[in-house]
Amino acid sequence: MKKKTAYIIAFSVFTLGVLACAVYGYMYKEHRDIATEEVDYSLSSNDLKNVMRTDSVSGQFIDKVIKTEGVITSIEQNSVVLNNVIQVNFINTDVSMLKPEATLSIKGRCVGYDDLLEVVKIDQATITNP
Amino acid sequence: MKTYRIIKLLPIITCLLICTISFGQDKYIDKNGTIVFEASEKLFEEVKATNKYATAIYNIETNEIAALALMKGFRFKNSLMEEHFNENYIESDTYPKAIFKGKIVDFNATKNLGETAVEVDVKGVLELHGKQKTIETVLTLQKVDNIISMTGSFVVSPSDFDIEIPKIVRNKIAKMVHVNLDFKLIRK
Repeated sequence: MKKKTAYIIAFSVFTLGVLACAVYGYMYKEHRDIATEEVDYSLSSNDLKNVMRTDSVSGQFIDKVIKTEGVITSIEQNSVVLNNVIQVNFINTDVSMLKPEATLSIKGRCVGYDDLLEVVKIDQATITNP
Repeated sequence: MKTYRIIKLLPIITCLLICTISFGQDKYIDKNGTIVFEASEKLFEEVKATNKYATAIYNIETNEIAALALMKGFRFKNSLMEEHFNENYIESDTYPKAIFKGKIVDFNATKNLGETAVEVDVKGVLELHGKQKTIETVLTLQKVDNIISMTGSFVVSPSDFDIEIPKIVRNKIAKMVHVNLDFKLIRK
């Protein structure tokens, strides 16, 4: 009899523990790691701008992992602009290492289209130059 | 005949060109502006997000300010909170951005803007979640060389923008949301 109660207690503690872990895992799950995620779409910087400025199709690309490339047209603060149409913010790349007019290939998360500056914003990017 | 017509138009074209060039010089732009909002309640997990790539444009000639923040650019410490913010509250798939358009009132930038920080009154409209709200606040401006620093804050409430907070989390999210902004605008 005593053995049975001990089993029940042990079982309930174990189940509770598993449940607690599952809830904790759900509530405090890790952020996405864009650098290791598969690329969803790969397109040129001008094509990316053209699809993003069209409201009906832009939703398909937002929050997706995009690969694109272009010539660096400006470098300021923490961001790099490609072909004057894509603004890229990196995860942890030192942008002062980059040089204007160099061709850069990047992979990052598409944040959306900024119609004030008419650029597509990409964040959490990594350089994928060969 | 045709060439003559073009020649006749030349002064107008040059005039227009000069106008656009001189207008262009009055604009200060920041592509990496920081906007932080916080709606934390004491004793509960902090409800705070930061957007580090907001856009702001300030025209010192007309005193007009325009700012844009993409909703997906707001990052939370807790990824589940970020997901709920996007999917349930702000509905970023339908309303991907917040736009502020406003003006600094009674301020002469060419005369009063310099290395000493000045406080200015701003009035404008913030559009978010498909709703508009008039915002009136005080911003601090300071100009060093070709960079204008613009900082300030204002308070909004989720109900201003028809954002409903479910009962279950209502006491964990503050009724008043504090928004802080920090722009470093560079002359263009």
